[in-house]
Amino acid sequence: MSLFAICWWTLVRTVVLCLIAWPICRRIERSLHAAPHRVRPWLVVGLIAPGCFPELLVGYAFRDLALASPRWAEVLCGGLLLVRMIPVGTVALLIAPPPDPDSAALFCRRLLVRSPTGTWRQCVEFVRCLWQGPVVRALPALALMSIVAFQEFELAALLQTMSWTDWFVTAERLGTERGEMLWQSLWPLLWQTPVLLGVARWLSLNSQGRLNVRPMQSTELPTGRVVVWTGGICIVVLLVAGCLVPLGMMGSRIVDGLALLARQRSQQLGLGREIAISLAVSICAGLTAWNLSARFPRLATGLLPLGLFGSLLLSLGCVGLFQTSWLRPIYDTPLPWTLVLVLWLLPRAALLRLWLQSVRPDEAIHLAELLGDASHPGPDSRPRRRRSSGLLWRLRDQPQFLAMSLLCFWAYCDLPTAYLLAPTGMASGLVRLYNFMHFGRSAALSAEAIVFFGIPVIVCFLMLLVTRQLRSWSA
Amino acid sequence: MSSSRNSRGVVLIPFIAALMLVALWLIPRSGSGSNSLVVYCAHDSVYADEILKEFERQTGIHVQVRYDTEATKSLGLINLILQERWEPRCDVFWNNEMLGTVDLQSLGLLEPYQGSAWQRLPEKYRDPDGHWIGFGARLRVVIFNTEQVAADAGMLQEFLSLDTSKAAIAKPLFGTTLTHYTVLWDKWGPDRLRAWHHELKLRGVREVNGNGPVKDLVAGGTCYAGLTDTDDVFVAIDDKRPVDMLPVRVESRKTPEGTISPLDIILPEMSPVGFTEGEQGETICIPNTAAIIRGTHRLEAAQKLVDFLGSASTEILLSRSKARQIPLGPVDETQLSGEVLKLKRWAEDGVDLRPLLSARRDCLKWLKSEYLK
Repeated sequence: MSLFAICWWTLVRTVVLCLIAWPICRRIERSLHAAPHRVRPWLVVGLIAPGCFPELLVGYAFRDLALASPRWAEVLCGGLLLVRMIPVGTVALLIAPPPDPDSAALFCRRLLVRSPTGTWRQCVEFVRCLWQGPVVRALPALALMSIVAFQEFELAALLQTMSWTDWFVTAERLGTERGEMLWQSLWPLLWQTPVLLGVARWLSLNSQGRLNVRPMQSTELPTGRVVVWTGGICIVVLLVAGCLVPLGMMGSRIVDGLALLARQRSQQLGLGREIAISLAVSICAGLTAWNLSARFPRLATGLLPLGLFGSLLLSLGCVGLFQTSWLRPIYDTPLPWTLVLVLWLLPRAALLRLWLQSVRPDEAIHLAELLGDASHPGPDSRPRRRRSSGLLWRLRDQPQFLAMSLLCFWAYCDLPTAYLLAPTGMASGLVRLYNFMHFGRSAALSAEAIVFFGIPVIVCFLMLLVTRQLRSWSA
Repeated sequence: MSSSRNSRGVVLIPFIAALMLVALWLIPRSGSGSNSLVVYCAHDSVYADEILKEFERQTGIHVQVRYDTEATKSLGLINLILQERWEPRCDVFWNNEMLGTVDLQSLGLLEPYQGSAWQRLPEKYRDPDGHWIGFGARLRVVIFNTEQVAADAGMLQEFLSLDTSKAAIAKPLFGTTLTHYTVLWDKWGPDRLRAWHHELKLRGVREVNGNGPVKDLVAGGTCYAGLTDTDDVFVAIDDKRPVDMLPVRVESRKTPEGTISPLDIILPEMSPVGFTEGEQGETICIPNTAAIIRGTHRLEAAQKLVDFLGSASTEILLSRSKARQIPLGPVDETQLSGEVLKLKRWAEDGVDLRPLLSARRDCLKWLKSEYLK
């Protein structure tokens, strides 16, 4: 099939999936607002987990099912994409400013239109309100979801469904001329450009604080037990389909695989080295992207659109760029790999910053800072400082730490950059696992995959514990 | 104060990670590692790793390997070598098929070397000037699910003449399936191959991204038969799946232009897999190839590796691996299993792939126009 046709196919799939995902995102957003405070963090974790679960593991788990019934492979791929899109859409909705005009204004406008004295001008005004209110609020979420769906690579490749990304990799591997590749890349770029520019503008305006990032308040949304439960059920379904089922499908023979791995010393060493390489590059790229978006917002804003093109197009472009004569000396170094990851992560870093900004309890943080203020000495100053430090950790630093960890984990799980840009002798375990996954499921492979993706999660939790403990001691 | 300490940490940690990354990159390149050989390997790492580790153990030469992805077998690395031709970072290319290597040779990217391996291997599986050697081969085979159909040529003809939706084949753009198509292009002629290919697609053959998935489809019973390689079949056999195989055999049956009819496809003498009954026709035996890249700075070490890969001991090791690759040079046959001896007999009828470079180029050009319109 031609690239043009495949782009159309991917676009139609993207639109259909966005339309399906949108009401679910709304439902979950309402549920999160209406949920009791003690339940909300669990719901948020449950929502984010399937969006962050490694795509490679999902594809690997469902690969055999898709292979056995190709007619359903497209449906399966669509379903799994939905699981990844909904968390992104919901987070975008959560940080989007409340609609202006609000629902009351819209209701009044609708009454006016329906009244016997309603004129066409009132109809136009109603449409304008609708556009400036709910539609404008929905656009960033829809755009971000469409980017996730349109740029899909690993899942489509493993489930063997049609995708322009797969077409591109095939063409590149077949040695298509660079000029031809650039010409062909215009199609997917053309489809994406309006959406990318829109999202980039929204992110840059938000990250420069020019838009109101105040999230919707509970009073602006319907509440009630039914709302909480329906959203909660959606989250549970996402969690089961996106995380638990893949883990369960691999888990049946995982103990055998781990036992096998424990007996193979050379395998352990190789895997350990691969994990160390992937961790180093992902921490370097993740935190650099985070720092860039915080310390050099203008530069980060300028680079945002590049990151939105996705890691595949960026990597392909970078391979060509670093093979030119004047950049060739650094081609076989970790620099291109890290650089592309940083560019790719910048929009994500901006989004995470926005989210943190929108949920940050500024008053509480200020009070916690006052509590630990050293200018008020007294007999209880030490326990007070410790209490203040604990509070600040929970309110301000822990969410930042988790956001940075998430950014690093995304870098850790990105296949196109690892495959196309890792220098010789620094192969990422991701590429090796991806290769083996095409051979089918096996106990040893499942065990290695679990260890590869599990180690960074364990490292993150250990660092979280250590940092918290260190802070507590230093206070 | 704690906030500034946090921000210091956020700057410091990526700096430390960057240092660690540089160290991980430099270690294999410094000291004893500076002499390490860079090997681009299209063979499955699960089999190649063991061989390369044995080479390291025997010679003390450190090897850095870059593998290709399963879905783009060999072509990815070939293109990488082409792209890096002005400053090659690869010293030895271990390809899992022959024609890609011959292509690199025709572009002047390989260094000739007539070492001990070159001398022991049969003429059909080495370049006359020593630009590459062929060793440890695979055969193209038809894999059957024995619970669905008997592994019998007649049965296959009958089954495929009725329904190809239960047959599977890998996309012919890459790997050994591309070699298979190249052989058919040469033996049948382009028109007949095109007609055959279109007929297969029209009748709903399952086309997947590699030989591994073909094996999975047949072993799982979704398809009854498929075209794959011997190493994939052995994976299924070791997994106790109900599969068996027969070698693909092709005969030269070129027809004058304009006489092709889709009906030809289902004639018994030329079934949709290019399979002929009995022992007629040639098999498709695809060796691994090893070649030294022109411009290498580690010529001596590269020559040692090529000699090692083409040695009898490596061929024995490959034949004992799960892939059961077929030794092409003289080896002590008492060390070979019954399965490998049978494959070795089939491989003796292997078609000479060396003159097929132009057929491969033409065939690939056509396939690109089919799949990447």
